[in-house]
Amino acid sequence: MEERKIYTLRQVGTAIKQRIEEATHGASFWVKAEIAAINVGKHAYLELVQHQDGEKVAVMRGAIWMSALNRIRQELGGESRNILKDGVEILFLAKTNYHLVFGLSLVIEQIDLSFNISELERRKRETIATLKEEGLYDRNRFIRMPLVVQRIALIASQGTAAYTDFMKHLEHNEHGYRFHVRLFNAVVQGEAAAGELRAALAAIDPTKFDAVVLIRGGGSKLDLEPFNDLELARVAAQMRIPVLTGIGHDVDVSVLDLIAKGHHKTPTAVADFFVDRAMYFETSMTGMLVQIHNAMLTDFTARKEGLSTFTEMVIMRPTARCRNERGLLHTTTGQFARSVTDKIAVSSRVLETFAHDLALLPRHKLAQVEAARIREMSGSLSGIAQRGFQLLLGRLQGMDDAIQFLSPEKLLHRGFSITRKDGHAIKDPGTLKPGDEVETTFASGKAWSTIKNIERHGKG
Amino acid sequence: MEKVEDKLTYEKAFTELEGIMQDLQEDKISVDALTGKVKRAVVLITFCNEMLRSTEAEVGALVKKLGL
Repeated sequence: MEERKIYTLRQVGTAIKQRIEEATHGASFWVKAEIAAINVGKHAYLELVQHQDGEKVAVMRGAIWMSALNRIRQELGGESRNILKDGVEILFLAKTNYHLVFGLSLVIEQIDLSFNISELERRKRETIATLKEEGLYDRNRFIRMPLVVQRIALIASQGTAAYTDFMKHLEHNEHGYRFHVRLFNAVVQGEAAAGELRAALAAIDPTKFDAVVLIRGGGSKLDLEPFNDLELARVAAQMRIPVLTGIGHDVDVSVLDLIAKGHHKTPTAVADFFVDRAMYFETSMTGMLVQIHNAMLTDFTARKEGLSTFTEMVIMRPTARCRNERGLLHTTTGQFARSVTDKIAVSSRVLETFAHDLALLPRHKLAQVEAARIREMSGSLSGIAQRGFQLLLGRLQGMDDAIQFLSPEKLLHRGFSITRKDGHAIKDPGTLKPGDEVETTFASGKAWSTIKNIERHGKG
Repeated sequence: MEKVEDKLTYEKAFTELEGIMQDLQEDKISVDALTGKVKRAVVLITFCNEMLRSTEAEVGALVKKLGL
């Protein structure tokens, strides 16, 4: 039997180590792998794994030495706890290291955070696409926000600054508005967050609240992960009341922010939104009231003016009416009186003329006329009683006497004379002028004379 | 008559007043009816004025209550 060549473990290890170092030349390369387990102390030790179709297809140990670990932590900042944990797939720069005692491991020098973020963004896009497909993406956003949001279902982690700040802004608002907040406690960070948030949402009776508010005090980009949960987004989108978020991230928005009715950067911003909304409502109500009041005052003024016009008219019109009627009555009375007077005047004149003419008629002519009339009368009065006839005769006799007494001859005998000019009797010396020749008739003869002077008396 | 008065509203009163006013302006009312119409107008105007005064006072009180 040929003598066997036996290597010590160290020799084998050294040989492998040499071969590996020859192959890699100590160069670094980028590797993508999932952290199956991590143990962080002074250094970090990882178990790296690759899955394919649910099966482990490769496993390797990894290590981050202290100096690299500090640098990586600094680079990752707040995200280091989201990266350096079980189940996270990372992209890292590493070198192979073969240790004679610890065996083969990848020594990680750098981790590329952008890989994780773009992974997160990719998953987020997928989630959004799914929600759109299911018709849930816009559902909550189409729900009407009440004019005043007063009954609030708050999903938050009790005791956190986010919760305290939110409550403080609501309760101590400067306008004194009162809000009714009920807390649905939920862890908002870490593995359990998505599940607890879903459970909290499901516990809310939408008939008892005006809105749901989800708040968180802020965190890193990868801390948003629970708020990108598809199942959580589905439950929130289907809420029958508006969902508002204040997840405390000013750069990025989560899926929950996108499907919510409204999202604000911080929990206090959500609280202020409710206070402002209440104030806006109150202000517009007050404005409307002032408008209504002013309109009423204007209307009152117009109505009062109308009424005072009426009042004036009720006083003026009937008075004027009475005055007019009185005037009319007065005019009628005047016309009546005048027409009566006129008639009397006319009659008087007729009588006067008659008497005058009577006086001037020669006696025999008058007697003839009267005799004719008497004859006429005696003819027509044949049926009248004798006494009446006698009376009439008596009156006629009286009339004859009067006529006799007034006859010119009698008057001339009594000393009167008649002065004529050109055959016409002079009744008014105004018709004469000095030098006129006149003829004067006396009872016993005539005389002719010349006018020397004229003097009128009475109405001159 | 009392029942009618009970139902009197500002609008009804005002409309009636307008009718009387028009009749007055057009001298449609006979002198015999004039006193009656004027009496009625005075009642209506008094009613309307009272309504305006009390409504205005009530509104004023309400507005004051709101602290405007």
